[in-house]
Amino acid sequence: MDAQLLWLIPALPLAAALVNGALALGTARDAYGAPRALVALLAVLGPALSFALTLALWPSAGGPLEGLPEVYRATYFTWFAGSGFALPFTLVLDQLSALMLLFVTGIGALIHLYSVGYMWADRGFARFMCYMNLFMAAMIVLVMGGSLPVTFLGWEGVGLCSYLLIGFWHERTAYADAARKAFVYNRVGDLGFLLGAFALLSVAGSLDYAAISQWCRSADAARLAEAGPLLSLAALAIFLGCCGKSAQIPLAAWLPDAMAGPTPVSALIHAATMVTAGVFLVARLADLYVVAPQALTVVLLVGCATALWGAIAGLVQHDIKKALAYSTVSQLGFMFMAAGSGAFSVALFHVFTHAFFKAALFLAAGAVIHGLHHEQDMRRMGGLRPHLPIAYLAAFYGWWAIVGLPFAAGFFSKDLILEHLWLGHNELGALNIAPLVAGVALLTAGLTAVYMTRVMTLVFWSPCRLDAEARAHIAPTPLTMSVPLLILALGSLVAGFAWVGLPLDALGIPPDALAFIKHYLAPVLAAPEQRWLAAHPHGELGNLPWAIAGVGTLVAALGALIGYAVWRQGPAQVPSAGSETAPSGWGGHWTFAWDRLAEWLIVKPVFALGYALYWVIELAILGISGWLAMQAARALGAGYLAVVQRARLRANLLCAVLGGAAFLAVVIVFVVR
Amino acid sequence: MPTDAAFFTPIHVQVLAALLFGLGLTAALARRDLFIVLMGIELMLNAVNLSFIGFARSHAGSASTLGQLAPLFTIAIAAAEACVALAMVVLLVRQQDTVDTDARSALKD
Repeated sequence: MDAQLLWLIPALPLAAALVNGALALGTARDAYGAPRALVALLAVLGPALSFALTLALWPSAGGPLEGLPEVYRATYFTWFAGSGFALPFTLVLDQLSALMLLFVTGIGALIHLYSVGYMWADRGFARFMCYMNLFMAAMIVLVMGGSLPVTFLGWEGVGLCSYLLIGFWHERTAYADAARKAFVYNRVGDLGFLLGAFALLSVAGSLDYAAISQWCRSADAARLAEAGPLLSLAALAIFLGCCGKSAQIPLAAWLPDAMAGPTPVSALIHAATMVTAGVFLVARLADLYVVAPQALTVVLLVGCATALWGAIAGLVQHDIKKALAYSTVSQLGFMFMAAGSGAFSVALFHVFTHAFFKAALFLAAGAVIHGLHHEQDMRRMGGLRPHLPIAYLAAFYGWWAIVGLPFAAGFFSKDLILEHLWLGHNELGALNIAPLVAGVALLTAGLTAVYMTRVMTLVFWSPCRLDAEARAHIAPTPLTMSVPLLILALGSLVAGFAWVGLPLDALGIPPDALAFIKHYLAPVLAAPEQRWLAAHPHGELGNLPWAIAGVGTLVAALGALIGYAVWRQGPAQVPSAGSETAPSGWGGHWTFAWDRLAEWLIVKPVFALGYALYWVIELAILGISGWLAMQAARALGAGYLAVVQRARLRANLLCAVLGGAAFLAVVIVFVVR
Repeated sequence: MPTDAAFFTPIHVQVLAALLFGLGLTAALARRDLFIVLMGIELMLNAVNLSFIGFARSHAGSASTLGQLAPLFTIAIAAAEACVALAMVVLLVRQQDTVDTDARSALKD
């Protein structure tokens, strides 16, 4: 197919978004809203066609040794230009963006289908679908952007859609607040993105990814040493942007609140696709990060801290979606740990597997919430396995994958991350911290097993805590929701084989036939990864993969056993309907640590400054001087001054204008001439 | 039909900017409604932006770039100014229940 057709991939969902938006606006005053069948058809068709196009344009996985890889690259117009600088609007479909597109459009289409069932009864159905389609278009632009500004266009687009969808039910003040919180946290990150882009422009002279990579690869040691501080600054600033988008410490606190949005939104935007954009960007700029090793160490440490924090926070949540949200934060930490140890393709592999199992888990949670008529408190669930079999199936396979028990998707990606951390080499001073991080990662993997098993136990395996009436009214899962659940359950089970392949020699299929991701990303990521390995050599691999598989499985099984043993009877007490679900006590302190930090570091100082200005300037200085002026005017004879003091804003303004004009006239006549 | 370049000479742009500025100034001076006064000020700012853009078009090189950049700063600052001004209007309305600039004066009383 022709490379010039690339624009169709983002344009199809965008067109669906425009039509659905027009339908939503056109029927704004009707009681029922836009015709739902039409809206649903358009909304699902847009992403599905994008998925088909991605497959049709799928770049072949030619390795670096087999000549140039087949990459689609299309430049459409000059976005903006200044003296000595022009920015073409370029879309790229290389192996990296193709892999991202594969699950962004594929899982995206499935979640759109699921949304049809989930949101059907909502009055804002067309508006919802419009935002979802718009999100797809922006996410595709983010992934396909050929330069930082084009990616930034999509980056801001997904941020906007995230804001709109978190606050979709904006009649609830808490939900609107959550949307604003996400928006503000992302602005902080975006500032980093922009500063990093400007720094990169001043070093490498271009914002185009290919040119940046080329510069980093070809610069000799002297040039790198000269540009070193600026390169590190660029890498760190862009990583701040990634922290905002991917909810890493210190910008992690918005993602759990983002669960205010409808559950398909949580699955699509806040689990499978948008939040992985940070990992994608670090991988996209891998050539930059390997020449800024200190920045990569920061990536590793931030990922490690976030993974551990998120896993512990996930342990104390009562709201099913909040538990999954902290799990997402923790898993994103795993991805950044992989990227931080120089294993960018492994990070992308975990992005890929996580998209399947976390989408499956979230959609299953959505089916549970749908079935229980918007009950989200896990303490009030239990024993739902016979009532919601499809949701249970998807959740079970998602659980299997995320816990990392053998042969499901997360098993392979988690083991690879542990392996690279254990063998890796990241200096902090004179210390090699990578093996230490591997220890924390293993602990986090164990905690993951505990909290995910806790969720499964509280929802499905423990005794049912619903009263008889609620049990009789559990809503069945409609077909539009069941189909995506089953496909994603299957994906959670088999996505891992995309790296390791399957021993199918007996059937005449070569062993590496399915293992496409392992070599697939090589044309984009092999050069930076090999450069990193050359500078930070790994130890002997030996039997390590088997050892890690064994230890990892053992830790996961142990965590799962603990999780089941502790919570198999359900919670100590069942709260009444509508009671507070936020954890209290030490769990609350741990969960909201970053909110509290932001409150103490930013919110309270700003308020204090405001009060200080009010007391000092408004009351003390202006009040006293105003009072003095008034007394002086009275003493001097109020009668005369009252003529000048007309208390007419317009008259004052006119005097100011006349004065300014007179001043200008004097300057022109006597100075400029 | 003349082409754009022949139709909009630099003088045309500057005259249009001056007209807009005059309109804004008139609105700011003559009206008593605070909102209209603020809109007049915004109009004056935009007239200056237009003037900058006109000069950016008729100059070459870095002078042109500067002429394009200055409005970006003006727009950013005008946005901040509008925020502050509208917040003050809201406070004023809460306190005095009117947007009439001639209504009352704290200093005179």
